[in-house]
Amino acid sequence: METGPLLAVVCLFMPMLSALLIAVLGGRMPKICDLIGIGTMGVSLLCAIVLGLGHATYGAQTWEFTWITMDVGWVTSEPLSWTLGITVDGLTTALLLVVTLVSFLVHLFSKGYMHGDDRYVDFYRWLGLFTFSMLGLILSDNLLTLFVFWEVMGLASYKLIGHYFFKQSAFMACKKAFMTTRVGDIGMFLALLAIYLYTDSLQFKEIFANLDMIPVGAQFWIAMGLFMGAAGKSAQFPLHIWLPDAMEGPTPVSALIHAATMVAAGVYLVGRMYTLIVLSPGALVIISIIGCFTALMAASIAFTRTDIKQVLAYSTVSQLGFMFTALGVGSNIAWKAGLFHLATHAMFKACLFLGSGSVIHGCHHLQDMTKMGGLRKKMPITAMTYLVACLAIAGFPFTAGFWSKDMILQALWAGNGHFDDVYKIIYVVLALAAAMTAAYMFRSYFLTFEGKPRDQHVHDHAHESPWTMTTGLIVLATMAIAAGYKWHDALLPNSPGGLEGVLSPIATFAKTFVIHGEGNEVAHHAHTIALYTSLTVAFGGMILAGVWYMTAFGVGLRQKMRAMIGPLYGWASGKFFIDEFVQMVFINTSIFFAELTSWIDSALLDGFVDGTGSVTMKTGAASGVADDAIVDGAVTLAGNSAWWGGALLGRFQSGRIRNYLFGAVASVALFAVVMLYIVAR
Amino acid sequence: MEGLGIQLAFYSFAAVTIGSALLATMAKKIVNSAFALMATFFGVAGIYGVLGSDFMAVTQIVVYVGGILILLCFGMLLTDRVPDEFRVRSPRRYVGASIAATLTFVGLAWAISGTAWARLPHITDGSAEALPTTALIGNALLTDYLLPFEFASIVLLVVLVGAARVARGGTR
Amino acid sequence: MNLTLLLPEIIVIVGGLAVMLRDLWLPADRKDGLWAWALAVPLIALAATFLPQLDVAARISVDGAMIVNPEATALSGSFYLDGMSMLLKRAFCVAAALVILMSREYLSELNRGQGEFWSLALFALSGMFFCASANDFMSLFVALEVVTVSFFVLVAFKRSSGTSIEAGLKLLVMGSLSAALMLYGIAFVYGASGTVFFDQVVVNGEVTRTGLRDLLATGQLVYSTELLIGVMLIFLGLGFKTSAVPLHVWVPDVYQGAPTPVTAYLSVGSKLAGFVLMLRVLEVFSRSGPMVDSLTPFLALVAAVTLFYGNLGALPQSNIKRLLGYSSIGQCGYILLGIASAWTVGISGTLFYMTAYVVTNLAAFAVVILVSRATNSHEIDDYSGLGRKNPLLAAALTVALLSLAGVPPFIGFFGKFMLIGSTFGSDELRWLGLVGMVNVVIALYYYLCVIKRIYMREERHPAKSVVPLRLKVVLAISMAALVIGGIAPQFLADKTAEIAEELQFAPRPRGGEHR
Repeated sequence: METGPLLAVVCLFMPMLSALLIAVLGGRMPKICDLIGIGTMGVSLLCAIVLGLGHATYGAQTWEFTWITMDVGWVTSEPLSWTLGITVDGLTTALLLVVTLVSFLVHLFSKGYMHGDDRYVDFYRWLGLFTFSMLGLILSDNLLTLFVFWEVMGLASYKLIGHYFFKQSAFMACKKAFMTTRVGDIGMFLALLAIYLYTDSLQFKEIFANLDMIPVGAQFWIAMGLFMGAAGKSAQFPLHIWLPDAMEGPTPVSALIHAATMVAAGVYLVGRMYTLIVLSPGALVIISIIGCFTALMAASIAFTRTDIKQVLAYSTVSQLGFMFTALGVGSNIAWKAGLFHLATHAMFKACLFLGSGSVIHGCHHLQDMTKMGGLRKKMPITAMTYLVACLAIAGFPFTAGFWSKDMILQALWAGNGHFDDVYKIIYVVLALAAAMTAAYMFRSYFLTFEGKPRDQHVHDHAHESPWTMTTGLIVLATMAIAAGYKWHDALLPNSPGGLEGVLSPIATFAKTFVIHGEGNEVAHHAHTIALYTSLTVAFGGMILAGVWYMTAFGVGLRQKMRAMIGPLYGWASGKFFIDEFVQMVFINTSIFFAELTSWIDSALLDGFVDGTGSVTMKTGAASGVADDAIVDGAVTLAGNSAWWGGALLGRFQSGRIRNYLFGAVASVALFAVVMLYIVAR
Repeated sequence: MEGLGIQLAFYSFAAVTIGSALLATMAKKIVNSAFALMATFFGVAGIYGVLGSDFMAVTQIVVYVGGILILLCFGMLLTDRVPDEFRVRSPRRYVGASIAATLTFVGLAWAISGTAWARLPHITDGSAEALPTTALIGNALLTDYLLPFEFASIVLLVVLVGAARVARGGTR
Repeated sequence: MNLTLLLPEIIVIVGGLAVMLRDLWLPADRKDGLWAWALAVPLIALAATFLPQLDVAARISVDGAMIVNPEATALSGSFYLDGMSMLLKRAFCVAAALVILMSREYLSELNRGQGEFWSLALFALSGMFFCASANDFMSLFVALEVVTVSFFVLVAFKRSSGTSIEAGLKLLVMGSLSAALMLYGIAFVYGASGTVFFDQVVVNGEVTRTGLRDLLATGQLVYSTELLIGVMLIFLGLGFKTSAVPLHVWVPDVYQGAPTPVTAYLSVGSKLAGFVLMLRVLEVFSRSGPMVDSLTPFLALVAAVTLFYGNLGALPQSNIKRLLGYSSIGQCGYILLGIASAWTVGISGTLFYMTAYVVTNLAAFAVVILVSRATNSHEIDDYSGLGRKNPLLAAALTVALLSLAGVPPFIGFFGKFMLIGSTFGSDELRWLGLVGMVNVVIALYYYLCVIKRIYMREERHPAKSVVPLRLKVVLAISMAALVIGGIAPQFLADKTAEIAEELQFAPRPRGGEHR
């Protein structure tokens, strides 16, 4: 094994080790489980950093492990070979860095935040398993293990969201998250089957080498199936409904799962399978439209939330929409923009979530922003880091968010030569969503940290969090700026560069696409326009929020505007009633069908069975000869051979050896006669 | 003439076997069943004799009549209460048993009648006519069948150990 | 004749006698140490199977046809050593060693009879050895009876317990019936062919004894109803050992009633002995096309009924030993899938699954022994909260059950994959593969129900299990085998594929289009 994959394997298995160790030792030494978690994640992070620094050497190293090779004559004449492996390329390395960093900081943060929790040990164990599955998902070089890790991650997130399972809302939330993502997984699973059917492999390498074996008609549906899975995990309309509810989980979990890792998995999947997805311009534009719609919709809902975590949740949905919008363009720069935004967003959103966690912790589990205000003086570090992250998400110049958002807009403006008009419209809508992002994020900042305290009691008891928590905030805030610079160019190059085998076949198979890259006339033009747009929307949004929430004039203005847009505000605050729609259309319908089948089962089938039973009994009684050899014999024969028919009737072995012998002899004879009959035919 | 005599012997032994087997199945008292069984064993021994298996016929009488049947009688004597009416007489059991028995009979009859015995080479080559068979069996046991013959001693050992274990009185 | 080939058998028989005699000379207070003697025997036998002298080519090529190598046979051809018997003998050794490690705790509760227990277990092992090497119907029958009779006694070993005695009696009665059926079948085959030997014996170029393989290969013995009915009866009789329908009825009762270590031994040793004989008999008759054509639907029917019986029957069970009993019927159905398919991949899968089944089932039973020692119960409800009380034990049971259910990445998955896959090669058996798949889902349900209780229910029984070193060894070995076998199954798969090739089943599925 080469150094790169070796590091990656160590990086991958450290969280697994943590989960195992905690499972074994946790009962006896609950005190040290946090140290185990933090220590192993530290090692993972180190490995990821070494991998990142040495990317030039380690990049594009792969390691394959042949699980089993079997001669199975019924599939192909070639022996069937199941190969699993890990691949270390630019994309992997970038995401490894992001995931391990956030996971490490969340482990550290939780030591303070979760202190004194009853299920502290369980929490760390599932955190370890979750990180393991996320890393495994990223490192997989094939869709099979990716899918397995994808599902394991679903399980781990189910346990983490439902950490406070004794609360009804948390219990419902984890169930909802699990079920909603499963809906997406159906599409993904079908896409996997189709891919295997056409290319005879689930390995990325093989799939991309055999893309021409997928018929044109199937390309669209495979792309849509993959996107459906991605939309489930990454909370895109209409499968986004689980994410805001999932805020019932502990806040560090929200930072880990709903900012940096699990929700990123969908974006990663689309990014990884990009070579296949770009084959279908129709699928691309649908992805872009759904992403853009989600971005706008979630941004408008975010305005109406007063719970600080809910704002962040909708903001996440909205930002994920940005990423899909970018990926939906289908050019190299778009690919880079989408994944770059994934990385930068992970940094500042994790910072925001942890910041909100720090606030919640400082205010004794208060989440309502309308009761906060003026917390900056009480919690200076939290406020400063939160502000930096807000600037980044708003796209303030020279923060990480500025670069990535700028790149997204640039990619949209450049288009891909297929539906450029549509992409222009999307561009405008997305710019609006970006402005709204800046506005609602600063709304949350102003409401929480600035102004006068609205609840004096809360304000008096608020306190800054311990170092375990603030460390993470500071690191992430630094990254919220630093992540925008150089490193991504090495890892996520514009041109296929470090992603041999991932993107290069685009050129061969999608000749119709204009590959827009740096230095190109169109791209340059797009760059200028995008720069102005993003500057405008960032400052516009921030100023708007400042006016609305920091000035006396703003209060009146807000009311006027609310009256002006009228019902729209009501819809947004009702989350556009998507949950109700789903409840009514899908859940109620399924319940109806379940009840219908249950009724059929109980009323019809049972009735039938009971009916036959009673008919037999009545016949017996009517004949008037209870001792009649035939009826009696037949009934008892059924009794004697209950062990035989019992499998279906629920009456099993009688335990009487006489009956066993009888049954054995009778059925052996029956077997013999039946077989002779078959043979004689 | 000789063929007729053998046929006569075969059918009378067969009649004894089947008749006494029926009696053993139907008898009300278990002692009667046991004695009917003795007749069955003799009948089977007679059939062996008719078929030219002198050793088998003798073994049948020595082992079954002299051993198994006596064991059965001991069992009856040692059991505290053997009800006179030891068999539950219910028509439904007869029905069930008759169906099973009929099925078995049909299967066997089908198989046996479906085979062209007379054409099988090892039956027509006359190798089975040597009498007495004791020497043949002895030779076969120590040559071709050495392994099963020797390994049967382990079966007997296991049976002895097991009998001692299961029958041993005392605690546990 | 090559008596060296019998070395492992000789070691086991002498070992069994030695343990029995040693027991007589040991003072009562020192009998607890006897287990180490008993353990040594299968281990030495296992070591002996690796001797180079035993590594004889099982087949040789004569005039382009592969025939049995006389050098690999002993005792006038009654004993045959090939890859399959070697693999199974090693599996039997491992099974016996693990069972002996497990039984020590159970036996310490008994005042007397330790020596008998160990020697009976070893004699049963010798019977399994001869089953794996049996090369004529007489040896097959006697070897099988040694196994069966030993188990009669072992099952009824706990004389103070009514259920144990009852289980022994049930096994005895059903066992006698199956032995009678099998003998009847052998008589039919003898009647149709005039021989009970699988191989001919040639002295100075003259055939002194005919064998079924050669008769069938040369066409001297052709298909007849009588031959078919005989082979079918033999299969049904063997089905008693493998717990195949219709002679499976004893399984749940006996599994529940017998002492748990004996149940464990019964569930692997006795079962595999039946399967290896099924494979041997099928291999002998696979030389006749019409025979295979008639046997295949029969075996498929048995497999399908067995699958449904075991898996549906397991659903309502509340006793873990009974559940494992039904599960073992179901597992038998899977193995029958491969046997029914009767071509190389199916047979390879069969052998793979049989080997995997040993460690998987023994691991499950080891946990059952430990838990029942603490809770004094075999109710599945008493496994609630095991995940909290004994996390490692719970994990071991979970892994074992998942492997039984065929969940990757454990070893059971590949076995099921190969078995079900092998039926898809042939058009006429495709339905059987679907039946197998349906049953995988059914089985998953009841295995997961146990796992759910382990992890998601509050504990009912506060007593924690204390795990003695011997059982730790058992669990460690079986877990390592389960996981390593699941992650790197290539070694075993290659081995079984090689053996299946040596057995000379059809290289391609019957009646299947090669895509």
